[in-house]
Amino acid sequence: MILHPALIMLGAGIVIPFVPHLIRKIMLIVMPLIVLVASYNLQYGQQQSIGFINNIDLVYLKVDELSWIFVFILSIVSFTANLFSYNYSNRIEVAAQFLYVASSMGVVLAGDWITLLFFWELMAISSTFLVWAKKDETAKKAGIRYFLVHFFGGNLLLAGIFIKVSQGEYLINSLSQNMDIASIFILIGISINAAIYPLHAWLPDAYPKSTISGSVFMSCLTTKVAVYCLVRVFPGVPILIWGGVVMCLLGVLYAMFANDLRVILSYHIISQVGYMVAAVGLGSELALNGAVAHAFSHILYKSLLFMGAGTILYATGFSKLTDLGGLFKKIPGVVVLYFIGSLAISGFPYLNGFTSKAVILSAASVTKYPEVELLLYLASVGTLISTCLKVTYYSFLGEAKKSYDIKKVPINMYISMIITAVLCFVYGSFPNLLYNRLPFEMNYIPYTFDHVISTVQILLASTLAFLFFVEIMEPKEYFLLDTDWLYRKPLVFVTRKTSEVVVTIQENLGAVWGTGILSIVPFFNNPFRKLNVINSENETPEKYDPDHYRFSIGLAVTIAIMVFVGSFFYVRF
Amino acid sequence: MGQKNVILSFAIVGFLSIIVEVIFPIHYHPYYWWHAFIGFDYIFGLLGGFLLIFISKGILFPIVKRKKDIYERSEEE
Repeated sequence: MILHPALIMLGAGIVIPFVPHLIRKIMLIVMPLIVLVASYNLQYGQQQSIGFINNIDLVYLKVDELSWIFVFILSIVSFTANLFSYNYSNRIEVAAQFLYVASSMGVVLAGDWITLLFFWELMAISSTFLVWAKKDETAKKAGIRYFLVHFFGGNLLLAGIFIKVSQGEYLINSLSQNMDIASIFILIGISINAAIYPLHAWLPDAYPKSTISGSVFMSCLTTKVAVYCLVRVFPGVPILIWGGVVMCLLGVLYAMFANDLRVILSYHIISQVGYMVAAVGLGSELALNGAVAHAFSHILYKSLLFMGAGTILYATGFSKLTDLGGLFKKIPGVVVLYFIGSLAISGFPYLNGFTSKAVILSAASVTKYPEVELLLYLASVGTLISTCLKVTYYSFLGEAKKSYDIKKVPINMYISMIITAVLCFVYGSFPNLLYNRLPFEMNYIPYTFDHVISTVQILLASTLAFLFFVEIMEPKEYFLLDTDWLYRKPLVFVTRKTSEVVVTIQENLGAVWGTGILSIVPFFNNPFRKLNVINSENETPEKYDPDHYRFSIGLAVTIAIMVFVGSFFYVRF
Repeated sequence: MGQKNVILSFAIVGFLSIIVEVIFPIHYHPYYWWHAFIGFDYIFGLLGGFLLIFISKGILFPIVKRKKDIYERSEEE
């Protein structure tokens, strides 16, 4: 019997809000471990399906190299992130976390479009609850916007899938050779989740407003599941190359002047996913391996960074660089762990960002895209400057800009961050652990002398560039515009004006109609007046009792039942 | 340690790394000229860093920065 990780998690997520507090805490640790074992034990080639309408089989489990590696990393992060959230998650939040992980795994393991769509929508709904779990006004509004954007994306996906399934193609296959209207709908639907410019603004809008543990889950799941779908469905679509490069650079540019820690990290998700999207666009086996490897590494170090930022927010109550400062003296453990994560994302040797980013850059030069290679390489300079140097300089060193008390950081937060940091180190130092599990065979050696010295040089030079302009780089508290302006200002304006016009027409038509109705009412209010039973206009119609002339309601019901029974038997037999 | 000393030490370490690259010139897969160009990564990192800081802080930031949350008022209506 095959244990289906997504279904185990789904069942646990449905049950967990109703169990007592103690059992909930046990489940929070034990269920992700069971899921981790279940996903590790999945074998390539396993497949399970169940019959559905119109002779369609729902393939709810299909394991190959690509889905295995994604399910594996999702179950690892599900364990560490649930451990991180151990001491303060409430019922609804825990259920949302479980369902969110379950639905992400469900998408990855789905073999047909309908199952994928089901889990895709569940993913959007459950993650919205993680935004709402913050329970303040801004989070509530951001959650609604997040939900609407994902609903829009989900509906585009639905439209594409509807066309595909009605053409008889219900199994998930690569569509890159067949870019018809359905494929374009599906591509845009997935692109919204992958946060491809200009469809990305939901991400830095919602993630920083989520709860501390909610943002850890969100940083790992939605975008990476979308990357999985892109690798599966759209490998080698050229537009993705430039989409990825733009994400990569613009994400970094925004992160360089953003002020809030979690906003910086959110823009960095966009930037890092840009590498993966560009690699999917390149489409060679090496590039696709790079995309998968980078998604794997990214989930680890980005969850570490979000845990670090969340812990800082938890301990100090602040997350803006203009408020923080001198953290190294106060919470050195958290700072060191965050710093490891920021070195990993910058591609420091012996940490996992190095081993996966290198594959993508090499793939870009092998597939004859030198400009892509250089631009992606340029983005890695900005990554070091904004996630590592800027945050370190302005919040870990120096003096605190606002006075605050440091809350004691719970031990479970430390443990989950340490586990993640160790994994970053293990996968960075022994890359073959990951390389051997990638979808395509490859013989890639990241630790060449040449490569390590290049990385050391670029990291040194970026640090130098930052130090030269350290005054200019000082963060300032400003509100940042992004493409969500388009649907928060002009779209709102257009919608409001349209509804005003419609309401005006409706009101005027209603007025005409109402006058018409009122003018004929006197002819119907009392039939006896016309029959001259009541003689005078002023006479009260007491003599007239409408119930006297009506059939009993029982008769009407009897007739209705008879008609129903008659037509039912006619249709049925 | 003052900022100037930090800058100087990073510059010295960078210079040393270039010397190391000169002494051990091993380039496995030079697909393009910059893969074999000694010290390219150092120059690229430095100039790229300047360029990114200039575009980000000098061009993009003034365009997108706003004094306060511009959406607040319209959402209260």
